[in-house]
Amino acid sequence: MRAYWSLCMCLCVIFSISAQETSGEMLLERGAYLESAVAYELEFLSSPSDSLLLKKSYAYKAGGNYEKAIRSLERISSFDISYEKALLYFLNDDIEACYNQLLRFSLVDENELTSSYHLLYFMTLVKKNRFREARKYLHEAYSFGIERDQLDAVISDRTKAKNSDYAFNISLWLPGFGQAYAGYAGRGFVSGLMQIGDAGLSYYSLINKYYFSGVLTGAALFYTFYLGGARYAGQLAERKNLETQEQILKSLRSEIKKANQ
Amino acid sequence: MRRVRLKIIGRLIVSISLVFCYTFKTEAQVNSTFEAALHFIQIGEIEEGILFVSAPEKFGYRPLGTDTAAYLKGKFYYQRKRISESIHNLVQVGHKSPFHKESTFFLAYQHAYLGDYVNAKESLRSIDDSDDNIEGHLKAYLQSGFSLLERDIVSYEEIIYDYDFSKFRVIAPSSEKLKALKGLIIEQKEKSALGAGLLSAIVPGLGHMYVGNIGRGAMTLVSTGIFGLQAWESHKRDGLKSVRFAIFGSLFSGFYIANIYGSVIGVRLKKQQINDQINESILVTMHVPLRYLFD
Repeated sequence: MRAYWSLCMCLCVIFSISAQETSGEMLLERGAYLESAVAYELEFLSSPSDSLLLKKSYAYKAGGNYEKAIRSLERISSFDISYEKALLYFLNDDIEACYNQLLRFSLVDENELTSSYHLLYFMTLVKKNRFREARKYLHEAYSFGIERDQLDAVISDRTKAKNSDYAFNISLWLPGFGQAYAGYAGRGFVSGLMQIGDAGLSYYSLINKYYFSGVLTGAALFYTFYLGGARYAGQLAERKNLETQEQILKSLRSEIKKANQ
Repeated sequence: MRRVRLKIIGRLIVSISLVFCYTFKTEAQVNSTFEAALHFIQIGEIEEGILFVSAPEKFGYRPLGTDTAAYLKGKFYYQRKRISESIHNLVQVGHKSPFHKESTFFLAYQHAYLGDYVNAKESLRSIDDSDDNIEGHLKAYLQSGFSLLERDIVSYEEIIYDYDFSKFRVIAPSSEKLKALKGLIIEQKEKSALGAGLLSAIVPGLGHMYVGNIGRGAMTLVSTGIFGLQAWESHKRDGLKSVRFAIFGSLFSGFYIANIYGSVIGVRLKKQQINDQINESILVTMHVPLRYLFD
């Protein structure tokens, strides 16, 4: 009799193990992210549940497939997943969508905002080049445990975003000054020098009665460098903003680390 | 005695329940493997579908038959536009499979997509067109498309004469569109490479305009003109032996010769471009009834 029941129990154990092996959790733990997503989808197919879709999105997220993770979340309707969506949008570099989701999440219950939310919100402000607002948020809303006198090390009041349109326009009026505004004075000097050279070539050709050369080569070259220089100034302003973003986030990481030691 | 009997009955009930539970679970999974695979197509998760169909047992589902697995994989790869892999799988679907006809049509279409018209025609051979059914007409319709792709107008006309596609609403509009594309092929005018070259020699850029590349022609005229005028100015002011003339004269000569050569090559490229556009339209039109019938 005892042997019989032992056999039954063994069969039950084997049966349950074979079911577990195919589960999404198991595959996720093994690092088989796509397989895990497939397993969750199959589980969803047999018994639809939004929590399975959430787990499926975790599997995609773990595998670095943020677009598919977002698509999984978009099928969820029974509970709020704005924060998770915001995080995925951030990871997928869609900062505007991330910001919208964060605003939506903050409307649900302002008291339930966690430190993860504050961190993501701060990082989103930085990524949107809203440095002043980010600084104000750090000082007034949430400081991540960083000492008040250390907050300026993360983002000082002199940190300002460069406007690429402004850099472009300055370069149209004063060639080379747009680059200098963007923080690259050396490049601005070289650009200005080249345009003066082109204008000089044009002038020299014209006074020596080489009219076609003066207009078609000198002026054409000047025009090309003039517009190209202005466009480059705009690009440099954007590059400078990216560098500032990196710098702020790096400082934030190190200050949080220090604060937690 | 009664106790022993009760024990045996109890054991029997437990054993049967265990066997029943296991069988029921497995059977349910066998039935749903195919549906689960189709579910992945429906939600557009093709990579996941391929993964599932390749090893359903890994997810607790019973494996599919060879034909069904090959059909599904072929279909998944087709959705992903991985044509060679789709062909590789669809060709494995056996004659007895209920998916054989669908696989054959998609196989033929994909061969044509790759420009392999011989295998495209060969694939359709197994489709019976003796009856006046839709399969026979679909086969003829695809064959008419292959003829157009090969620019074999006579063969196309023969097929159109033998089959009345207007009987089938799924095929009729696409067949009319193929007819219009045939008209385009016939109306296509041959441009002369020699003519284009000569025109560009007389006025730089004119050969490009003759071929139909108006923008490129204008650009060629301006760029060659710029160097031409500067070469003329240098010649007039500094003479033939001046460095200035040597520079601008060389630049002008280079642009002028390139302009003639470009016009000649442009005729062939333009023809190729128009043919590619027509072929793409033919393939898209051929695809429409297949999607209506099988998707």
